[in-house]
Amino acid sequence: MYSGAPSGGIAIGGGGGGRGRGGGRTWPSTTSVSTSGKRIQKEMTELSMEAPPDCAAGPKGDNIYHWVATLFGPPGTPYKGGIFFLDITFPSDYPFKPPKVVFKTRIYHCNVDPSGNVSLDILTENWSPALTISKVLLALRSMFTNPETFPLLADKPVVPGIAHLYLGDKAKHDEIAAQWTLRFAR
Amino acid sequence: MENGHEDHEEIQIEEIPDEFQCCVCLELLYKPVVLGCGHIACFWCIYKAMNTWRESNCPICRHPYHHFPSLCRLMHSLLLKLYPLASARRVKQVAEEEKEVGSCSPEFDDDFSESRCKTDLVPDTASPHSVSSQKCGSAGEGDHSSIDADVPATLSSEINKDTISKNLNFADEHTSASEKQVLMTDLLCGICELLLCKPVVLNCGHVYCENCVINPSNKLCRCPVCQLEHPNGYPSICLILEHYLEEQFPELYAERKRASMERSDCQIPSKRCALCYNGDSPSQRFIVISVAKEFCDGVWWREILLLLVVLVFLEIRTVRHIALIQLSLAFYHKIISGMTGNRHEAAGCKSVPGFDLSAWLTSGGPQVHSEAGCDYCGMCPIVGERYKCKDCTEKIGFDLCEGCYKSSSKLPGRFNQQHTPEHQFELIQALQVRNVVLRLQPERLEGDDSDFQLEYGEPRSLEPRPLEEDSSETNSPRDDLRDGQVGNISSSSTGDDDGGRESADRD
Repeated sequence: MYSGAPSGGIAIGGGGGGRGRGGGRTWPSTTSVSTSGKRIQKEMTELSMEAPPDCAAGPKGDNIYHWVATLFGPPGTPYKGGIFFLDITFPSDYPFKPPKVVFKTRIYHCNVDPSGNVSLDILTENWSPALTISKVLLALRSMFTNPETFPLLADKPVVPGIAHLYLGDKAKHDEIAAQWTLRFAR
Repeated sequence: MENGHEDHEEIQIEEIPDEFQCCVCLELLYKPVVLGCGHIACFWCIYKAMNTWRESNCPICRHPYHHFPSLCRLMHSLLLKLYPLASARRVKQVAEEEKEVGSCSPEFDDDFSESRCKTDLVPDTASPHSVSSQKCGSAGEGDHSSIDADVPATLSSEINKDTISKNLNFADEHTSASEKQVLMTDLLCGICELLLCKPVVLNCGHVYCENCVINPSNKLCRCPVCQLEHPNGYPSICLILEHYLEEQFPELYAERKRASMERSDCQIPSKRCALCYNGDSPSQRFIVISVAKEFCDGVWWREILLLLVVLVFLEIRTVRHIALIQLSLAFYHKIISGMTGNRHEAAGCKSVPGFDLSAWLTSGGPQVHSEAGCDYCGMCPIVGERYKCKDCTEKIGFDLCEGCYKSSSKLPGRFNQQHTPEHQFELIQALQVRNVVLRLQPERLEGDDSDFQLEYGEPRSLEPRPLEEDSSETNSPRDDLRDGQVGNISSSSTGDDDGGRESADRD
């Protein structure tokens, strides 16, 4: 019994998961949506029925593998009042591989690098197929209130300068973050 | 349009409660497997979520596991009965996916009911299943033969319609008051033949009461039906099933629970650990045992220290526990040595995982066969020796781990492979994989291995690759055979084996 191989094979359709195995003829164009597509559609309907607080997400256009999400800065944080846009890209073997989440709005946060990449453990090594986009959005929301300052490792896209400021002089950090929110996220 | 049709169907199907939803595909559980932590997911979902390089983690609680569980038949038939329409839809869906992939999930002969419908359904189901397994075989023969595979594929879709309509008939017949009775007979423990109480699902997919199957006197949990050991400690209670039982049979279940509590109480002096055990979770016992094993090597002060730690850890609440503090050291030592003795026995058995990928890669640890799983016990990746069937034509292959190869059990494959005892095995060496991995930077191994899997997603063809520097290590399995390092490959008949070897030479 082999394992793992079909994960790429099953996923077909929008994400570009190819299926031309062995150079033979390919099957006629899809009548069934792939596993990943089905799952994403399910999440879409669930999100539209009950979205987590201060969050919204949905496909960007026709391609359900590209989503855009909106996070509202939670009250009580320096990000209050800001509207942050994120790009979510699903891999073709979603949910077995994590989605890629990128901040499109600039944000002063020690877990978001200047190009918008988020350093969140559940989006990399701690991803689990039981996680959904709404759970990821909730985790991002809690990241606003509790920045992850602990894993100051070199290979993580954390901004150490901001983390040090957060730990040393939280008032200053909050001030800058609020300024950035005002400048970029309104 | 196809979409419109699907939507139309969606309106008809039943509302699925969250607990019967697969956490991975978010659909109704179909062919459920239950992990050792008690969490449930679909067969294919778990298969695809498993890590092929090291131990996998439960998608929900991240509890580590190393063995792919077998289907839980009881849950499967329960779900088919509770949600016949949604199940029928899932049957169709999964059949389509399997057709695309070209490998099958296990089939049951009596998909609908084990007790009542068996007599009239078995003749009907027998023929479709033989056809569907033929389809599996032909699809596995090679990818280029997809045109041939089309014909059986259409057959299988007919079968699906067949089974669906059967499902529907069944639903119409039995949605009345008798339904409860049917369900009750399906939810019995195989050992005590009463309603399940604190159900645990073993790796083989069989369901028993926790008290029936977990016997603290031996540290292994063995299924009385199929004689397979449950790997990696004790299974946890399947809370979803327990919740269902509680809801469905409130009085009966409460009574069963009370009875089992009383039983476990009077079991304490004889069967349960005299030191600490008062119905705590099995995991606590295991921590005690492993600590004991690591820590006290007959050194007396360590034992005293350990005794204190154990008592604090287990939260002394009852008078009985306080009295235990006064236990003599000799008695205590006896218990500990008894426990560690059992534990050693457990560690020697194949089911307790103790593998280290890096140990194999850097030094002489046991081989790790990534991307390969044992078809009997479900161990994935296979650690130690791997035996591959030479005669199974299915694409998914048929592999056994060392322990299962040496055991005499004759179980069917996990993916409906047409494996028979006459088939011959060959020993597979995983050296090529190691050589490839060693050439990469070591940090790739520790870091995110997902990219790595993508790049080297097909190290399954274990024929020697042209590796110039270390060609001495990259003997193909056949070379090993010729050198006579592994002489006892074939268990069935040595004459055939020699013939096979000669033909390999000629190749």
